[in-house]
Amino acid sequence: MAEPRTSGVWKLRVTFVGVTMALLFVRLLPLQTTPSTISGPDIIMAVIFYLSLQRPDAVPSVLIGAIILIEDMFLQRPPGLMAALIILASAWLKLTASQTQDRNWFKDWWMSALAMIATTVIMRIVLTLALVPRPPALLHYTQLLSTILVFPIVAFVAYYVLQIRPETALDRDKY
Amino acid sequence: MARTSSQQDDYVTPIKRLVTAVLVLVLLAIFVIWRIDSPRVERFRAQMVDQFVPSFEWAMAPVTGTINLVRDFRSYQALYEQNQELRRELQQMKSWREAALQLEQENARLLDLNKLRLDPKLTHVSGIVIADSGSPFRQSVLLNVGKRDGIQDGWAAMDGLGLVGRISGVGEKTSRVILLTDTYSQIPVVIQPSGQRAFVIGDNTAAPPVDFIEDPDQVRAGDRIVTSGDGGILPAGLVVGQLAIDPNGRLRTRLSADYERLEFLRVLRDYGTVRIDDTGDLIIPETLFANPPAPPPEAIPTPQEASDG
Repeated sequence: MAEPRTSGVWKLRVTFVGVTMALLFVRLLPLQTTPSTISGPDIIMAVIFYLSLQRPDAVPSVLIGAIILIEDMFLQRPPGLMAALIILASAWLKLTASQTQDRNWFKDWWMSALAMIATTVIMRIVLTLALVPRPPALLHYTQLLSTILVFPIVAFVAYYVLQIRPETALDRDKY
Repeated sequence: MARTSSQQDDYVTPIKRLVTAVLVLVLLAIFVIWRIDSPRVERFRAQMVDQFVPSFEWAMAPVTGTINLVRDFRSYQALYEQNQELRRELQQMKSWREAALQLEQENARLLDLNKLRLDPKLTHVSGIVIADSGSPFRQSVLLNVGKRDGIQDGWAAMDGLGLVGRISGVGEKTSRVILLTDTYSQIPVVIQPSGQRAFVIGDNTAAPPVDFIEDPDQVRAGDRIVTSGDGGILPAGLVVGQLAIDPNGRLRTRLSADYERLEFLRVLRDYGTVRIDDTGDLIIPETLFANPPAPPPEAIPTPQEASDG
């Protein structure tokens, strides 16, 4: 009985790595070489926060750390900072999700939005303290906003297209 | 069953927390190391990109090509208007071409009369853009030429029309070009015809501002901006763009290079010009250096005699 469940988790992990790598690949395509005034969403962050809430076992900290560190390296960001912040945010989400009783999708959205805001703000504070040039404020905050807005879409695709359902629902089905 | 799983959690959870804490500390340590010793980490980053990105080139090129094809198709819908506009522009260009040819001939004659020697001709390496920075915060592109093609940090990259940026980060097979629009890009320029020196400083907009100008009253919108070559940062005389004034009255650069479509870039080979750092030494006979204890009355008359004779 333990066999199919663990294999399910591994399938989910492989899917997660595949999806994030595909997203990174698309971002690296040289399609936009002119600077833009507003920024699109950071979909990888939304995916990680969604999975942290719904299937915490699929996104262990080590995996998140590795993926975001690779992303940091490829996207010319200060390496390590974003990875550390997202791991902390994801750990907080996992903890809160396990303690909250009656969860619905709106509460999930609200919580992940909180995590995204905290990640962005703390990142800016740390960069300021470390005397590293910060990303332009308008771009950074539009990225935050669009990531919050894209979360329901990520959740919809994950739930209906990729069939990633929360663990509790699976357990409930069994009983 | 619920009991066993909760018991499992009891000893798994602290380990998980410990792993997470250690991981966060390691990642923060990486950030601190990057802050302290940036060049080393950046070199590592360039190597890493160099390892992975070229192996995806087979996939990146066709996907990029397909998306651009679709975009082009959309723009072809306005083909007729585009055609008319191009014809008008062509007529203007023809008259300019005549003027340019005449000026070129005149310039060649004058240079010949003056026996003026220009910079040795710059040669270039052409590269294909294989990836961009991937982030809206940074403006850079990755070229498929690197150390094996002799690329060095700091060289200028141009498209056919003007300066695009400069090389920053060279891997074995790839090199990164920091575009003029990036916030890390600051290049010394000179504004023609007034000859005012200034800096073009990227700020993540399509038209980077011109700053540290000596006398803003002497320049006008439409003036040409070329690199000055100050500090040996870039070769002098590369076309950057035209001066423009934005609604807030700030001086900005209208870049000559076509940033919409960066597909091929030329990297100019630049081994630097011989720099003259000190004043020339006195030319005196070597005997002075060879025999320092030699009596001065014997040594000094020699040049005097030579100059007399």
